[in-house]
Amino acid sequence: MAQATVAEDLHDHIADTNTGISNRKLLIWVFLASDCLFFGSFIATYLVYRNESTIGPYPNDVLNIPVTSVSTFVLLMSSLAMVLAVNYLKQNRLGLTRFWILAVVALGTIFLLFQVVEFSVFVNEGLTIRQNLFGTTFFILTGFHGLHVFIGVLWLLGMAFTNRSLEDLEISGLYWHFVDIVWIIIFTVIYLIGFSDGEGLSTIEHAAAVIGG
Amino acid sequence: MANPIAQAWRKLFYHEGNRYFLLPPTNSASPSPPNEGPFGEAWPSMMTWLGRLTYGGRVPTPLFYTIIGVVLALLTGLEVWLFTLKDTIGGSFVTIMLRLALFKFIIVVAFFMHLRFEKSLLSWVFASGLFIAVAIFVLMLTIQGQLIPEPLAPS
Repeated sequence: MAQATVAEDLHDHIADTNTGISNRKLLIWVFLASDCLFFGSFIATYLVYRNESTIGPYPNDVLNIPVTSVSTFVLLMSSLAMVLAVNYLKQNRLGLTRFWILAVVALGTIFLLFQVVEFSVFVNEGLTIRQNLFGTTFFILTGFHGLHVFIGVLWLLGMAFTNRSLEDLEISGLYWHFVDIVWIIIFTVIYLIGFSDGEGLSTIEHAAAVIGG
Repeated sequence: MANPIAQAWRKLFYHEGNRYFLLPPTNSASPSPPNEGPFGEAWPSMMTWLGRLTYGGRVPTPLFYTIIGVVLALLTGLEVWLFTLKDTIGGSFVTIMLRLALFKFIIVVAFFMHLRFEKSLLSWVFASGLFIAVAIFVLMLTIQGQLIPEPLAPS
């Protein structure tokens, strides 16, 4: 990261635009606002079809809360690492900046590994994207979230080994934190609240409950 | 130095020597004294303190961010702990979980994403997207009948 660029950014905090905000930063916020619609629609779809699967496995059969809690913790800590990286770049401490960016990359990769293992366990237990409505809505929602994390990891990996300005790092950081807040909602709504869906019912009983209304 | 609890008590419930619920003698002279209200000066003082703590014109330090990170981790731990008590908590479990998630969401957006320290335009941009997303969310659930309870069948 070029020191001159960092110093320039520090002194040029108010951008020379109509809004006083740099166009790129405004753009990333508009993108994140639109991404709210993207994930909001998927979460709503999941809830609409919640408890509508006529065959198993149901959330109660496959979701593993302790393991997902650990991966949630990992993602939260990656957000902390990200904000520390931006903070240290503001102080022009480039070594620490690179260290924390690589920490984000490592934690993001660990989160992705958790997700890969989780998906493969689900498939082994019979839950595929085509198995039932739970499988379809779950894999699409968490899969797209995982794709966002994967893009973020690649982006930050590029940031760690190239000369970038403070604004570049801030923008990638905003994207990363957004991925984190989406997971906060997914973890609560799907894992913690939706865990007991289909609890204590056999497939036949559940199908009868759904069809019979 | 006076007892801070006694000071807080006076701030909350007393007004210039009279209890708050008695009309203060200066009220007729000053129809709207500063910080008038059920909490006296406590509320604005607290907000000023909170503002100074979270920003106050200073650049947030790594320690501040670490504290936020620890708070987020503790809140996640609290969520998981409450999950194990789900049957005991009963009907309010969903409400408590959603409130905790919303709190974590706000903390990350405000401090990690720096909206607390940015121009308000960015908050409006993000809030508008969030508002539309929530509107779609509520609309979809309403259309599908998830938010409206089904009428009870006649006995």
